Amino acid sequence: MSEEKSSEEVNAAEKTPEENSAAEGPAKLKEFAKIWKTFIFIMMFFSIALGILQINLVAGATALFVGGFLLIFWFFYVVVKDERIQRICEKAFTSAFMVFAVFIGIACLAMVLMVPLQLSIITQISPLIFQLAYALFIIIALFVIFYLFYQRRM
Amino acid sequence: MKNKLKVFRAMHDLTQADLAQKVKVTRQTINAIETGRYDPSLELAFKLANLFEVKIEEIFLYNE
Repeated sequence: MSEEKSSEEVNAAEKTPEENSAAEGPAKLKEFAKIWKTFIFIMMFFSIALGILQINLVAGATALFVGGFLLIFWFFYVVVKDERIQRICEKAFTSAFMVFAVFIGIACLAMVLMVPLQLSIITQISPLIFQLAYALFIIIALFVIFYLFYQRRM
Repeated sequence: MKNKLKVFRAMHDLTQADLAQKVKVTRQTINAIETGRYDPSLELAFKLANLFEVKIEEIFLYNE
């Protein structure tokens, strides 16, 4: 047996434990991805088969669509999300949230002010507006919770 | 912020798609940086500088 070490062995020996563990990370991730892909494959075909057997075309079509979508992105590596898209998403979400909050706020205020008028249209749409207001409240509460959570981590 | 990304990309004979793939962003992001519509993060700026083997300030020019 030759005592000469291969270049990989030499490189591995030269690396610090931190570097070695960093190199192991992607390998572990790839292994996990392989298992996950197989699982998705099995689940997808199982769901399609179940959908066809039960003559539930919606279930079959949904499984086919979702599974196919995931597999396309895994097998053909495509960057679909980067920092610019993330920033665009943040801005779009903030704008959407602001529009929604302002609309619900104004609608709620209008409801409260117009209740004494006892118009039929008000009584019809007020439950919807108040439900949306509750939804808004929950979104704001979740936002505050996640904000505090990430504030501690970043 | 101005940049010379297009110049460096041309020097290395890379397309926007090639460069995007190398730094793991979308082609649209490279296009947005080149046209000055988007300022990249420090991480992406370092990636680009490392790829072209130059300093960040050689690619990106900050003007107040």
